[in-house]
Amino acid sequence: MNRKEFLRLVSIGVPAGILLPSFLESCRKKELFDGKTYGGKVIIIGGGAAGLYAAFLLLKHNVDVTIFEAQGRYGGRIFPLNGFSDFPIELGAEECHGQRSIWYDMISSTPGISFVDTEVEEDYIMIDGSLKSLSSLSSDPDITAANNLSDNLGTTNIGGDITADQYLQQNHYSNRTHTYLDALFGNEWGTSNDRLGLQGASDEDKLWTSGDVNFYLKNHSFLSILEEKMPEVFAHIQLNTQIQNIDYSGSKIVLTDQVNNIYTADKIIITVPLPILRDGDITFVPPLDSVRTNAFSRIGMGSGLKVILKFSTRFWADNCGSIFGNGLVPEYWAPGVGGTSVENNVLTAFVMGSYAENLLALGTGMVPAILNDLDLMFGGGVATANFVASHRWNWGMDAFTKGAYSFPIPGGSGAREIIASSIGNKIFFAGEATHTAGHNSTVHGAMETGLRAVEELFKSA
Amino acid sequence: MKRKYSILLFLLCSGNSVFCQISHLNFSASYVYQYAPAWDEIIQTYNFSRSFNSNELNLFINGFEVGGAWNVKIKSGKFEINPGISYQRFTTLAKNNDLRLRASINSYFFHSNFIWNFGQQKFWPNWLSLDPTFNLINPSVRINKKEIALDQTKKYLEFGPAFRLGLETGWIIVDSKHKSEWKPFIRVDWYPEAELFDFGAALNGSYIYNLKDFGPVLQFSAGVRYYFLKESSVEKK
Repeated sequence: MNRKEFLRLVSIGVPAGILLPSFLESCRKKELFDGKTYGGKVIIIGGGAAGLYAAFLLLKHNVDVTIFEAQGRYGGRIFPLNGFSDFPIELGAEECHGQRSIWYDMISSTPGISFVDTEVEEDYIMIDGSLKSLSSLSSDPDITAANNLSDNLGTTNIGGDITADQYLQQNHYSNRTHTYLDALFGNEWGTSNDRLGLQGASDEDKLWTSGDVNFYLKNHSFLSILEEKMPEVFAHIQLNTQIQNIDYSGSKIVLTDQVNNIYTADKIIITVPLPILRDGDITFVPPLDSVRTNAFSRIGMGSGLKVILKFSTRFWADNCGSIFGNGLVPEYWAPGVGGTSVENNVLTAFVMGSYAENLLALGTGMVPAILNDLDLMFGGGVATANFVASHRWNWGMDAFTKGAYSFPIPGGSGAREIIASSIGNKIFFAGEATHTAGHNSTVHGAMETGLRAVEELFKSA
Repeated sequence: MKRKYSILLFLLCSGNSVFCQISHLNFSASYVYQYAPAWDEIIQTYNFSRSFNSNELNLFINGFEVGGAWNVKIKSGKFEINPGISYQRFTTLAKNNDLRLRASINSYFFHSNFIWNFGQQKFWPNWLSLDPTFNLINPSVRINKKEIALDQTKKYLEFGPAFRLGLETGWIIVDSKHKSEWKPFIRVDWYPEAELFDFGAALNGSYIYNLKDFGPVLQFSAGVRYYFLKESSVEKK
């Protein structure tokens, strides 16, 4: 073959090779909704992570959207406490769980933000009357059994739809680690072991895909990330607007707030916390069907308390992560570890479920009781002697949240799928409790439901 | 499904061994254009959900394939089989501040490739091949160069078996000393169903999106195959 022949071959072959791919390229969607937008009015009820993120995505596609937030602030259960120490303390969500999530990507794509990996910290436990590092107990059979169950919950055969307490009793877990087990399971899942449905927790654990390492932010609050990455959203929030009635009987959805202002929308996304729906704080016309209203009660959400304690000196180890208590408080931790704070003498008591209710019942005696608990662990009355100030936040008493975060209870199988389903292509649901794939109770889970609701909305348009 | 593909692989391999006579080695390299709507949607969901990022992931459109094979002629000279292996890769990278995310599809192919030399045309392709191929597809997601595992029990994303049918044609160009042969080729491949196990969940970080990890795939390739000819095969020409 000579050069001329070769060139003639090329002149035939190359166009043939290009023609069909070019045709397919013209058929290919360029982006998820291929430039599609929605021309109607969208109202989002609730200005937490799910609502803010859903609004962000809608605004990116030029949708007319307004967020109605019942409180005088946005962020929902992302709520920093500023001014208590020289770094922001999270009263709500505090850890970024895993590396594989929208939330992790959002944080790590923000310039100037650094993570603190909780794996580098040392945890301590009050056991057998003294405070010990968990690493020193690596051969303790009771600690090992508790850790194994925690690490392998998703693959453990629970043997029935029972509470964590029932499972632990049936399987003879030691009383030495009773509070530690409550910290690992009930407290971690937003309740206590007497209420947590362990089968549901196991099922959700199986679906967890975000990774096992947790992160704090170094010297930044979670809210500051939302503000940095989604600045356009905040002009579309109407605060102090508590939607109390939703009439979706007509072609337009009519919403009424607490002072009888009327708003209309073509589609709405409801992102309010589960108890707001469960307790009927929003009424619907026509009423929601009984399958859905029953499902609201088949997911748990209740008392959750953070008590922030400031001391004049730091009497715990510099690398201290969690401190697992001995009955009163399942878990303390030291926020701000790894940050640049110079007055980081702060401990957080993280108390959920029946433990929170027991503490709240003490009234003004709550903080002295916690200080006494710390005195017993560290000795010498060191906590009481160095106590400076406290700040407590009870999510169960917050009128527009009514609980910490959702958790599985016995009999709750399938409930999240029901509450997550849309109504008539007009009403969509989001928020951490509506997550159906194991990421409930997390910020990234809430954001994922916001994305799901927006996808459903676009597909229905 | 896996069993079906295993049987197919066995038949292809045993079929090839029956025909095995003298053979010569060839290597190929090609550009691959891919059309896979289900996989597009996985990446598009990532880009949509990360609208806050300034840099997006590209779709798996442009890739490459390299391979080697033994070319075996059947007595008539009109038919050949070209059993071999090849590797194909599609990859995309998005870097946003401290987040460096790379998503890839690595595929390993076990070809059969039955070739029919049908003429001496100078200007039109003069051979055609049918290439039933068994392959293993391995998706990968890396954050800051670290492979992502879905949970503690899955170290990496799984390999998935698949089957593709290729149709290939091209020209034969023999060098002046008849020591080597070039075959520029164009090719179309069709996967009835190819699956990237858990890729959608690993990339997007959740099973909630109900993304399809599987679907039909169409690929177009343009490349060249280089043959090291043996004396005997040259003489036959």
